[in-house]
Amino acid sequence: MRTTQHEPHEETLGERLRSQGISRRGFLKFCGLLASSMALAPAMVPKIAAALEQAKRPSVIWLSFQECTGCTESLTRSHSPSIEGLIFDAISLDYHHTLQAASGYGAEEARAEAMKEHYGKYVLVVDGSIPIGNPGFSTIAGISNLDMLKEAAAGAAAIIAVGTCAAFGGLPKADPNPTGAVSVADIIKDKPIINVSGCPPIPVVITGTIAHILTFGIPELDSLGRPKAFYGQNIHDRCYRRPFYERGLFAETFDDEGAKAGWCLYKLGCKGPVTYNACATLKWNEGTSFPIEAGHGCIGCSEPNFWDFGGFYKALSIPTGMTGQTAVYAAAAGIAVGVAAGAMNKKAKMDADSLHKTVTVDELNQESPS
Amino acid sequence: MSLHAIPVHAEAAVTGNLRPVQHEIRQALSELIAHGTHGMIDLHSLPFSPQEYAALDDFLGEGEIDLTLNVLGKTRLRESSYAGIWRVEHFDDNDKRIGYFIEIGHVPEILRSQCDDIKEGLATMTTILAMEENDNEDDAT
Amino acid sequence: MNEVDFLLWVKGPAFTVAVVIFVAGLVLRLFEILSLGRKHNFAVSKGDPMQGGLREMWRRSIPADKATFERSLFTIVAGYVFHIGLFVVIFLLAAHIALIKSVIGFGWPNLPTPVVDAFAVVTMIALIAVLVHRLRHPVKRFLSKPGDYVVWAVTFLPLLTGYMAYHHLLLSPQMMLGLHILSVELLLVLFPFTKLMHAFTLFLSRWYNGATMGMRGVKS
Ligand code: SF4
Ligand code: SF4
Repeated sequence: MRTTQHEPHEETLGERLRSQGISRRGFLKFCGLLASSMALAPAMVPKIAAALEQAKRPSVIWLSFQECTGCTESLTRSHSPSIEGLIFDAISLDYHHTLQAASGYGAEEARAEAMKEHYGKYVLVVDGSIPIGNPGFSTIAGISNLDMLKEAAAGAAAIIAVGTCAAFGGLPKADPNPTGAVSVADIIKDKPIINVSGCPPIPVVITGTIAHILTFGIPELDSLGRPKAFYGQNIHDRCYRRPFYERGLFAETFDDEGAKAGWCLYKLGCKGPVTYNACATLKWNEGTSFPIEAGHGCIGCSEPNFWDFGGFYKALSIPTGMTGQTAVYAAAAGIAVGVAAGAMNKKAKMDADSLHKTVTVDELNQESPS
Repeated sequence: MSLHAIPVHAEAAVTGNLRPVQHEIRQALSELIAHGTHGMIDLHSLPFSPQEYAALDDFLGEGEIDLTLNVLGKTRLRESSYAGIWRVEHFDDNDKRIGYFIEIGHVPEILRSQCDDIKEGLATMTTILAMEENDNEDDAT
Repeated sequence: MNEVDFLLWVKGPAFTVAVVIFVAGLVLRLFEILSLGRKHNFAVSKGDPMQGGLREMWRRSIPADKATFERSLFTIVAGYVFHIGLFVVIFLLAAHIALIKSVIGFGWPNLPTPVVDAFAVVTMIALIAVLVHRLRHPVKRFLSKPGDYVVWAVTFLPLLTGYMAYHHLLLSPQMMLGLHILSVELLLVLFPFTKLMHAFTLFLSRWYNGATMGMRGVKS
């Protein structure tokens, strides 16, 4: 995105924002809020401002595969002129088949054109997983998801996998995975991939990641390829119900006294202790609250395979496959083998008894001199 | 009906972040005196309970200045009872607070006229004056 | 396999396998011992074997003999400390109760987590102390076989990994929790086939001893 330009002057981000009537003070406010949303120290604001001022508007191609459009909804429902909206304006979204007016072959042409014009420089955003069980399970304009991803990834500078489906396979991949769904990273191996997981991801996390790419390039990622700035913190560590967890005060049902007093939701299935996301700090719906504040445990939506965690309402420590019945069967098997082993032991004992010869005093006397 | 009209009963929560923030502010203030460094603390990215926000407000007290700017929604600047410590609150178009900073400096950054704007202004003013003088000369001849 | 897959595996199939081996092994061993039986005694004894057995079960659980108690002070105190600690940690932590409830269908109240946490620390210290003692005491050391150290390790590991998972130390919580569950599974699998079985056979053998001693008579 920062290659030297031989073409005629390309509009920088600063210029674009100003042409939209945003003053430099407004720009500064925007940068401050942006730093806050990127979880950066306020001391970074001048650097962000300088970088954004110079940044070129990147071309973005957004591909949607096996998905529910929830991720796009999450992003577009954030009302404007929020920072999310401004960042969204800062990119040139050249293809997004849900949002664009054109459809079918017309839309595909726009995609082909953008890919050609910005080859090697565009940012590819993907939501949804890719079925490899049968390419016919999901197609766009007759092109299978797999082919489209490979083709678009070839010319991308970086790929952002938005949502748990694109990042880890998500709902389509849930057991028994009928379509053979896989994540972007399962297919593309030679491009930087940033996983912005969540079902859906928090809108400012999507835009904050885009902003980071605009200003400082690819952010620092965790072992699952997620930006550390947003996924570096554990829900449980940041949870305001944590004091109740510590004291051992748990809501047992969703309407008991404990639930009303805001006690910890661990026993009601909260997966916060193994979930990394920014919900507890950035919160949802323009910072209103997050699910645990609304009285429902975290379901771990930003983690791989969270659909198969063994039940949203089962405590984290409860094993997924084990039932009391299995234990009973095991005990029965144990008894059966035990009876057999016991019988064998008994037989051995009896055999030993029957082999036992009575020794007379004479015999003993005969043997002793030797 | 606004969101705030829905009664939510949360037990008084203490995040334990109030004390550290108070000390950070004090530290930043002494930095300002010693080296002239402008300090900024982002309160929105910290877990803070409503009670702690209120306690911090009490601690800082009200100063002489309370300004509202109109940039991308409203922005409210309030000096605290300690000179040099400012509360900066950013709101969106629906008057929802989307950012809350404590700034430690002679004046909040956003209030300063921006250098580039000043330069642009100078250029504009020079052009206008030059044009007016041209006009005058034209008139004179 | 990423951390979450690992966690799902230990919570799912691995746990089932471990519990099946544990339960089946436990029942097998007990059945094997009990079905061996005792020869019927045709002589009438003076004392009541049942009474003697019960008395012995109780008597050996308390430091009745002062001299023995003083001689083995450390072994007894440290032993009791870590056994009580293990009981509290295993059966009174909310997360463990939730697990047990899911398998056997009922649960009981839990202790506050920091209390259980403190017990875990004390238990670990006691376990380390008994290990050091075992290594430094010539007789104990002579009597110890590799199996005894294995038993110590599989008891200690779940405590350590559980403590680290709870405090989010070293590795990611998913990984630590996965390792914790795995270490417990190891314990479960080895349990019926090592000296850990003493948890179940202890009172049986105390009863036998007591019964023999309390019989006061001849055997036919
Ligand atoms: S509600 Fe969930 S995240 Fe919060 S303290 Fe309880 S277990 Fe942890
Ligand atoms: S609280 Fe948990 S499940 Fe809910 S959105 Fe956040 S990470 Fe996802």
